[in-house]
Amino acid sequence: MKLFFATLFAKLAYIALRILGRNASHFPGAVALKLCPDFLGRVAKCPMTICVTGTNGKTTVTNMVADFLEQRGKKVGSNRLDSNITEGVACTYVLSVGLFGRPKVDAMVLEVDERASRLILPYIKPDYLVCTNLFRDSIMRNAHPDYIFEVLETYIPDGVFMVLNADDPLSSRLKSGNERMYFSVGRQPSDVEECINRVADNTICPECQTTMKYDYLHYHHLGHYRCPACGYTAPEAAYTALDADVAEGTLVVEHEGEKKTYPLINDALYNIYNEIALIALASKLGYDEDTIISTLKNIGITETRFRELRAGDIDVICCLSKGCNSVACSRNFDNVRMHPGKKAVYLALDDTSYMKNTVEYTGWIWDVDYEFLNDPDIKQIVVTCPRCRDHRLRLLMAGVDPEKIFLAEDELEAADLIDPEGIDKVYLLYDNTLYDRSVKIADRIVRNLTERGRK
Amino acid sequence: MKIEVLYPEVCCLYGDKSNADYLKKCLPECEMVYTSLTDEPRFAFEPVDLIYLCSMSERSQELVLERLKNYKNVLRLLIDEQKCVILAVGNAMELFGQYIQKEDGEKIEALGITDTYAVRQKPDRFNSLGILSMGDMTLVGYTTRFSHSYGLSKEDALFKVVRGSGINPDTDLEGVRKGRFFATYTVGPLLISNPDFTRFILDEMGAPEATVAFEKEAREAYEKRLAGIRAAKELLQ
Ligand SMILES: [Zn+2]
Repeated sequence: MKLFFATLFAKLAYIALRILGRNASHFPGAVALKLCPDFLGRVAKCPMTICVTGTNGKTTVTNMVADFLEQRGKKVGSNRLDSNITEGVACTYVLSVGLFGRPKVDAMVLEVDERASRLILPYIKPDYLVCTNLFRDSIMRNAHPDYIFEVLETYIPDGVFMVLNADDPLSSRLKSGNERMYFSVGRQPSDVEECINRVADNTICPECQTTMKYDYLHYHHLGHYRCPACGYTAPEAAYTALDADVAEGTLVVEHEGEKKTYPLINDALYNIYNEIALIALASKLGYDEDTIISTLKNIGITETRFRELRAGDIDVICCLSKGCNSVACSRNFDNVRMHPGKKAVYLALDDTSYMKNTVEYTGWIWDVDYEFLNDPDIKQIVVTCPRCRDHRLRLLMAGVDPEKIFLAEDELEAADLIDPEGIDKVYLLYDNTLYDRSVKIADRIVRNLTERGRK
Repeated sequence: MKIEVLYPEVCCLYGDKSNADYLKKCLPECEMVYTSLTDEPRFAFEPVDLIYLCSMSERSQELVLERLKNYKNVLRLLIDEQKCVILAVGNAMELFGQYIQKEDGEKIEALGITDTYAVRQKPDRFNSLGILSMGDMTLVGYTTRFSHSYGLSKEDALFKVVRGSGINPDTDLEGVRKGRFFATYTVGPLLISNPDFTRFILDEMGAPEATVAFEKEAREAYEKRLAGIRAAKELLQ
């Protein structure tokens, strides 16, 4: 009965919020959990439940898996639009079950926040769990990767089939007693042998604590590692992504010694990881290679992270750069550096949710590779927001020429500092709490550059 | 000059490494030695001017203690005879105390050089901004941790808390000082954020002629942060 009323009131709450045009991705779940605290444990199991967790890529993989199954004719419940913590997952269940808690869908595909996993995974007991990777994340919330590993190790139930990243020395060791399958990305043209990032976690051998060597290293700690002292090495991957051909739109994938060509969904290395994770999971779900290939042709990645504008002959590229997440920022800085052309970079990385009551702690910026911005093709770097002085200091420590650094606390004033002389591109990197303002900033930059272009 | 950074492959959290980089910028001629878990520490067989230890995971604390306990007597001698500066930040401070108590009550024996002891309380995370003082110097800081420390006497405290918390929520004492040994729960860019404290450490290292790198810009960032924390309604994060 408790389950019935919890589901009923949560569904009503959902309908009411939708009629009011309000965000209904969290509250109905909270209602269900309030009325029935073990709601997630009580709703009947779907025929198939897939969870996706990990520091980076879990939203993309969740969307891709849900899209894939829908393409294959399954009815899917997914928290694509809901939050990835307990209330969001509960909300997805509210919408995916009938009043008596019976599933109305063939499969549940859920993105699960690593820390919230303890309140979710033991109750919904998924059939499959994909862990994309474990990196450093927000210092205050996620502490460090060892802690997140401990949480997952403790709360992932026995018996869950694990789809894991062979290239990650940490997350590849999750739930060693559970059945598993690994995916990996093989040697890439941009690989290195020694880490060039400021941060590389878990690079010591778990058996003998010797620092591991990499046959090739993609970034941070992802790559093909082995211990020079005891021989410990990366586990064998069932599916390995090899050559990505952007012009052809193809991705060569190796499986049991054979190479096959798949459609390339997106050529960013982190998205190749996301795609190979999906391919591994889909094969485990019983889809044959040809079916996977034909289905992938219809799958895209919704990149709300990028917007490209044009101001005269200058490209303005707006890119979400999640503050507090040092790896995400480093990946973006690396992209800025690698793209051809002369550039100006505008950094608005403060987490503005802190501004009202307190001061954001910016210790995380010392884990970010600002060194990547110390590049001859980057002609100017504008830093803004209340913590702009910290970012300036970080750039100076990275060896950036002080003449290239411009500072204004006010974001629009900072936008006016961009000098179009001799540049092809402007990169506007902004924290997700600054999305609305980033639109205004981008407009201002485009307007300024267009006007100056006319003169 | 020689700076030894201990176990950077695991003692590397929260941007702490930046302090060693900053000292190198202040002392361009300085030799930086990075000692890994499989190496013998440099301080054990030759003089160094500063030993630096950063924050680490709780699991790594045990690994590092296992290594350092072989050098307990050397470390004690270095500290008692003030042979070099030692700077330990974040939970590296706990290694020098009596013990670290785990969540289940088990006590991990620490180096026993200071009187403090640490009690872990995972999964409760403690995050706070702070303003600290040392003599007439004012510092800005931030701590993030799963544990608190106890057993600190006024005489041994490195800092006094002006705003925020000490080594546990019930004290206004923060950090441990023993001669030229300095330990604090403050994490991240401690030196970069506090040009006066950097000056102090450089002097303690015997480098009064060294200049504080990017001092003007560092001071501007410091002043802004100090004013921000003074005015902040909320310090816990
Ligand atoms: Zn080994």
